[in-house]
Amino acid sequence: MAKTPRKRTQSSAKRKTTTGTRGRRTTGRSRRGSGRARRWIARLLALGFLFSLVLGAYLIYLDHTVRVKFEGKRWAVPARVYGRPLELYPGAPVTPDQLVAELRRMGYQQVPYPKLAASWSRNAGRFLIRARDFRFWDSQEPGRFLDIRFADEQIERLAEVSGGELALVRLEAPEIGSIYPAHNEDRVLVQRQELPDPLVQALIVMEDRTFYQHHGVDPRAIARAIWANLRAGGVVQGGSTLTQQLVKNFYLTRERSLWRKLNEAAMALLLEAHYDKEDILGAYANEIYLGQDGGRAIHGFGLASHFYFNRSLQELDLSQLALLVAQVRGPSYYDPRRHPQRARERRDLVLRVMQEQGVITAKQATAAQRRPLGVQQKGDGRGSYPAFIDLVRRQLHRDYREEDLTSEGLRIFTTLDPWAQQQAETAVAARLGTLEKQHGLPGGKLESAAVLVDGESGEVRALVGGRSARYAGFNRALDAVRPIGSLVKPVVYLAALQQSDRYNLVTRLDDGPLSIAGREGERWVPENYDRSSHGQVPLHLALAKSYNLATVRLGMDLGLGTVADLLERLGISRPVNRVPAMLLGSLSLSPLEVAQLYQTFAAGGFYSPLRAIRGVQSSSGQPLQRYPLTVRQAVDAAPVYLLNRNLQEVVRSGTGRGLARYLDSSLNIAGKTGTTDELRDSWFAGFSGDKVAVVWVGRDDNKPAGLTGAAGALQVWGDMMRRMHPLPLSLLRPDAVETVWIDPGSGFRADEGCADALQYPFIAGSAPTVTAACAGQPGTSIRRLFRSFFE
Amino acid sequence: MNWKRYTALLLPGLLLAGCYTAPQRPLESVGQRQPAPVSSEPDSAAVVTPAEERGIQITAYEPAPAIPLTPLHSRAVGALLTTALEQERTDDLNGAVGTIERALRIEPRNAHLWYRLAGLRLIQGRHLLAADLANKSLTLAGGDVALKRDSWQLIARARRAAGDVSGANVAERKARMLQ
Repeated sequence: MAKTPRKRTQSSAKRKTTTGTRGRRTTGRSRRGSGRARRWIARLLALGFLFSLVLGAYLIYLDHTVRVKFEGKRWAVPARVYGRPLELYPGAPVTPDQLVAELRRMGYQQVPYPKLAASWSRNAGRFLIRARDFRFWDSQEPGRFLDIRFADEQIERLAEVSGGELALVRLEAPEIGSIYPAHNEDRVLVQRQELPDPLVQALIVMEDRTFYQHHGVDPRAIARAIWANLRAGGVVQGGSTLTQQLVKNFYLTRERSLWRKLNEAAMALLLEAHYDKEDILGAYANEIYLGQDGGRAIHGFGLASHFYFNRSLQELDLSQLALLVAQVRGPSYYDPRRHPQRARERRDLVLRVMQEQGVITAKQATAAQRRPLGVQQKGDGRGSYPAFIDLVRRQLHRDYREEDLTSEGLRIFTTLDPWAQQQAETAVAARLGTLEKQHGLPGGKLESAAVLVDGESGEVRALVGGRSARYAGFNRALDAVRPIGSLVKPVVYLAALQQSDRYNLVTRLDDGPLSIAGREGERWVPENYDRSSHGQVPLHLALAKSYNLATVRLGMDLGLGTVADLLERLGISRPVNRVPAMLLGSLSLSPLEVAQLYQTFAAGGFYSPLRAIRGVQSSSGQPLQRYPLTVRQAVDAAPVYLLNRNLQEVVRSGTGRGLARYLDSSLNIAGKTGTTDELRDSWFAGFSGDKVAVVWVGRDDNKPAGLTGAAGALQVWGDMMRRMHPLPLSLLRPDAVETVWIDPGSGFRADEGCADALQYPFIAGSAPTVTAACAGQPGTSIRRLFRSFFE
Repeated sequence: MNWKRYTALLLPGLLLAGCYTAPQRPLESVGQRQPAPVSSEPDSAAVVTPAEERGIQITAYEPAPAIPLTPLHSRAVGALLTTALEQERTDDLNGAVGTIERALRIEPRNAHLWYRLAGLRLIQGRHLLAADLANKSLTLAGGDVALKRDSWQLIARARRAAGDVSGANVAERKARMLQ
């Protein structure tokens, strides 16, 4: 800008020297002097005009920037993710320990007598709880004052204090995480009117005492700061108003320069010109940076309150609010977790200044200064379930765009049971260490994944993505796609049992050696795990003992297509390579997919797609989407019933009998072990009366882990299920199934008169018709009445 | 438990068309449909003789041993059913579906709840899902003949609505056989 006039001056001077005469030069001197001054004034005016034009344009630009961002959607509000709410009712399978864990997780405080929301007391088996109100996707659950009595580790009575008995109450859904965008800004929005008064007062006395008087910039504060900084020889005090701090955080980069300072001041003035103080304060409270959680930046008092205290802002006391305000000056320097002493001093300073400024009394200040910091350990509540949140995110991506998830403040209600998740994580971590020691394996190399699913509905209750479940990383529960080994066998046997005219549980199978020719003439020679063959074996025994040879023969007899089609009907969408080795589990699946397979068994042949989400609500509470319970009958109930009884035999006397170490045999667990070549993968999948669980153990580098399914995954599975108090599995016998006495030696029909006869279930009409020699003779012993299949 | 007492328990169960499978814990009786019938062996009682049944009962492979008192619904589920009815009356069908699903989380093997869910889905025009849900109700209905008949009738209606006339006729025949 400034160059052009200077150039012009030079060229006009040049012209004058060439064209002018001496006389003219002398006579024109004075005239020229005044002319030059005039020209200079004109030039300055032009310059000033240009400058103000540019400045004006710039200010308009700044003004636009300020307004657009402030009036538009100010923040991307990440979706909040909630776990399943705990349902309380007389007889509910909830223990006092579980209730206490749930209350702690939700930030409820134990007190001698609960007076405020989100607090509770306990006297032996009796709990008094002031529950928060909570907006569920379907209705508002009011905040109640509950009186809960336990007897024998189970809820006996549920009532409202000074009210009647209640049939059922659900506690609020525990928050388990949020889905925030790639730049890692998490936020819980608070409205201006939700800001507690002491918080606002503390902010003003500490950061900007003339906030309600100035117009965005406080020259006196700046002068004071400059003076203080000069005296100290460095930056010890800032003169920024709250408005300037907001502008800095909201619009500008972190760079420190005079230019930025000027910009900041201009924008602060503009902001104040457009908006009132309360709007600015509200924005400040949501924008200010207050901490760091790994890669996640903690912005705003709403989120900071959860981050430090696991409670909402409205529930904090004076000392906790003061601690939040203490963070404003340097969340890293005053980090109450890393530097509790510094944080405490700063908090107490806040309280002292508040008292000096007369916003609290001396008594209040002293009482608050005596309080401990009260900061919760990281790791409870949000951010602790990376594997599950990953699953939620993937399921949501079918219906929502990434930016909707990370910016619209959606509320997502999921199926996660944090208590079950805790048990699963503990079992995985504890068992892997034990296994490495017991088997002399290199330490820290074993990895694992676990999936826990509700038996009837297919809701995912817990998901463990690895040994260090709290760290986000490779999510093995979803992404470790490994050969499933013998876990596939139940599908082969189910395919057989569906053909009830050809196969039943006592059909003889040949477990002799075999070799199968491949397409290119190569031969595949499968072997049993014990490298011997067992001759003619009944079908149920071949599955219980996981005999490979009998299974391959059976599968080849049924046809690979039959087995592959059944896999598909059972909900496996991955393409299946139809080769004979598929019958022994060359098929690779993730633990989650295996859980889908076994859930269909557990649900009696009904397929329900596994769900991690129940519903989605908008930030204003409008229900947006439901993910309802659906079922599809994939397989007839009768053959599934036979299969499930067979899977119970696996645990009772077959390859899964090691579970007896962990779970009482009266639970009648059904399950199957799986092992792959050279012991690379160790699997166990099974179910109780209420839960389906799948565990995989192996190594990330796919080297042999050194464990069979029974030695590895089964141990984790047993430990995990034991901690969850599963319900016994009582299979419902379909009408189409009858029980028939069979002589196990011959596999022929017997009666209770036969010495060794056992009862077996058959699909009506499929039992053997040939009668064993012993049948028809009078029974001798009453004990025979008490025998049954696989006893 | 001896077998006489066992059959004595079974008979009223069959006569009163009782019941679904047990939530595994005894619950206080409130009675939703008829005076709560007491049943200990919900399934298959009609086809096996007491002697066989006794043999089965001590083994672990059949439904769990009799639970002393199993009402039709627990109080919690009763309360949710009332809510669902109210929601249905005010045309809040999605709300009613959500409430029944909530009840199913408490008693996942309560055949009656599956039937109610099937009924709601039928009203909503989701015929195939309705038929599948009624199917689920059938497999859990055990000795509750009335519920089985209702479920078959619902399947018939759902199939007819979905255009499967022959399937509907089959289901109707099954329902008639249970009259």
